[in-house]
Amino acid sequence: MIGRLEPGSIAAKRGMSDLAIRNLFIIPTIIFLIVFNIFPLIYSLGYSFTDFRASMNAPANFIGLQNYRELLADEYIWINFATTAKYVLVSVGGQVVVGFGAALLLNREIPAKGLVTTLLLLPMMMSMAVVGLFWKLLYSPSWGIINYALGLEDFEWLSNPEVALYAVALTDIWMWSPFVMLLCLAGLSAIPKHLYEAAAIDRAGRWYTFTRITLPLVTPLLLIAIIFRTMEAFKTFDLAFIMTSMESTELIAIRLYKMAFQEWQTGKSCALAYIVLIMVLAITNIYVKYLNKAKER
Amino acid sequence: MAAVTSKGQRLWNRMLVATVFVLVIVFLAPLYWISSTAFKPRSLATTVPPTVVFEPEITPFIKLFTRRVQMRGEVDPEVYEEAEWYEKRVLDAGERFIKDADGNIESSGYWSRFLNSIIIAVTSTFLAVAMGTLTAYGFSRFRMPGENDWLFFILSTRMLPPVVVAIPMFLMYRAVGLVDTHVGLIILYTAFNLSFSVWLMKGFIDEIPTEYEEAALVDGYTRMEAFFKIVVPQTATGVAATAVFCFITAWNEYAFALMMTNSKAQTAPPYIPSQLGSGITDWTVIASGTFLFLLPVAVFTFLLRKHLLRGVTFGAIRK
Amino acid sequence: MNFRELSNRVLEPLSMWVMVLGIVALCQPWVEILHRYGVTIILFGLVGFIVFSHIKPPLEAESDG
Repeated sequence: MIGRLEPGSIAAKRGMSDLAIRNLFIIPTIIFLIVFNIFPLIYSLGYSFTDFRASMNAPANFIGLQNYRELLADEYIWINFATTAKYVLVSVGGQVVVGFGAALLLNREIPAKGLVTTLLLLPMMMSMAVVGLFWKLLYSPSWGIINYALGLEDFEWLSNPEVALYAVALTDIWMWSPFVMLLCLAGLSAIPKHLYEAAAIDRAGRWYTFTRITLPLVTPLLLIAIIFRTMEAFKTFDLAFIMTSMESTELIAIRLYKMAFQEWQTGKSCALAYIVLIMVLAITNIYVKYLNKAKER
Repeated sequence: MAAVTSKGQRLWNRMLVATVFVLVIVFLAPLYWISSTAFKPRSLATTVPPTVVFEPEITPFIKLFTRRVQMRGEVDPEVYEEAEWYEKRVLDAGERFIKDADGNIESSGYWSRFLNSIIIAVTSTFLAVAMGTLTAYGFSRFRMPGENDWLFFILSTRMLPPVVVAIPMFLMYRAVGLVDTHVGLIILYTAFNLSFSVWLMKGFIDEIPTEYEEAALVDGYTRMEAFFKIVVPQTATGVAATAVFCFITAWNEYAFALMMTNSKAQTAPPYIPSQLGSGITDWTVIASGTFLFLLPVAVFTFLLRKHLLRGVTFGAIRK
Repeated sequence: MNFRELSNRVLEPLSMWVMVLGIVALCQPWVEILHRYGVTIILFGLVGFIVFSHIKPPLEAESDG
């Protein structure tokens, strides 16, 4: 627990009062966030009940829940949601497998370990858009190095509706497994050595040691990584937008962008935005719950 | 892991270490590829099999900053003689600069986009970190009714999908004329980074014992002075780490920049991919643009390496 | 078991699982009726979660104002 200065102490008598300073420090930030994040959202909640189109001068008509009803009955939107779910499962699943595996491998004495870890973390600090762009170069069917390395001739990755989504997910896995790895490594290095020694004395098998000692102690951090990546994957826009433009890779964020900024169905897109928002808020709540849990340890 | 390691285990261990290094090399191959393409002559960029060994040259970077056209036929030897070294490189590649009436070389859009990126990222980082540090101090040292709810509210603004915020923001910006302006993007990025900076700075400030401030207060400092003269210097590392994280986020941002700008205030991330569609694709130029853009991020990642875990968990895990 | 305990031990985790279920329902590609009501399910879970997570656990509630 952090000690706190009591209001009304000697110092509070001089200069500004603690209460005034607290308000001076906190309130501008909260106002700023309300004006530039919450106010726009209220604004768009209003539009989501209308048939407003930003490209025309026609006034907005109130149509109640019709936008929501239409969206949820729309077969194509349903496909967009399902595509997003598939993408989330593949990319987060891949990141967990690769990241956790890498953490197990790296959790030992390795020459230049600090350098290796930092190098591995480079991709996740980079811009999604730019990474997507240069993976396009790597995926090129005729001269890309991926086809060359795998011995595939002229295999289409990004313009093939069957594979494109997985190709995008693979790039995401490349970028973000180190993130999972970093959190797992933090969990692994916190496991006291004597637990393993005790297990060795008891002649416990590898599997037993893994499921009874390693896994339970890594789980809190691993969960944080999984929830965070799931949320980010649901929001994915840049990567898929840059790499491909097909129906089979149209994630919900891309659909939303097209609806709002290409078809200019402002009212309807606000409604879709709210559906996505509710989903993301739900995941955020779960995320913060586990984040606070891990913090208390 | 166990104290006693047999010979077999040591061999096993060595094999695992070797595996790690092989995997790291495979993992880093894409980064090597994009950096090496940035220094290749155009003819070697798209060969089958891929060219690994080549003589690096600077031509792609010259092309990156200028506007050029393909030449038909040979270059006039006189023109070639008079040309500067950088122009010769381009002429060697079979292209020539587009020049205006005064003979000045026209520059491509890259430099102005790069400059926009710097201006917007630096300003928004400064604002986010300054406001974030104050707010974090407020939350760290004083009680506040519903404190956790306010902190949750602040964090949740970070989690909002950019497209969701962008739709109403675009309408509002259009009404007040902030579309495609630096100020518009700076406000958006500041709002986006503010929550992150509050959470991260709160973690750093929580670690400073309150005794220092209490002592200062007893010595006759006011609370303001104690904050600026004791707390801020104590947490300089924290401020620096937070600033770098905010800078990288703003630098990398794509979705807002795509939707809110189109030329004047456009940043590099939406600009670089847009070069793909224009004319014949010269991958060496795209690669050099990408390379320059990624370079600062790579440098900062190395500087930040000790604080990465803290940063990616919003200051929750401190190690 | 009083209400606080019930809320903390049962209702809060329950509403969390309702949210997860709602997300699954919204995004699954098989049953249309589930997709249609997915958002409603998430909303129920979300409201429940926000309410129940604000009811303080019984013991700490008194000692830590």
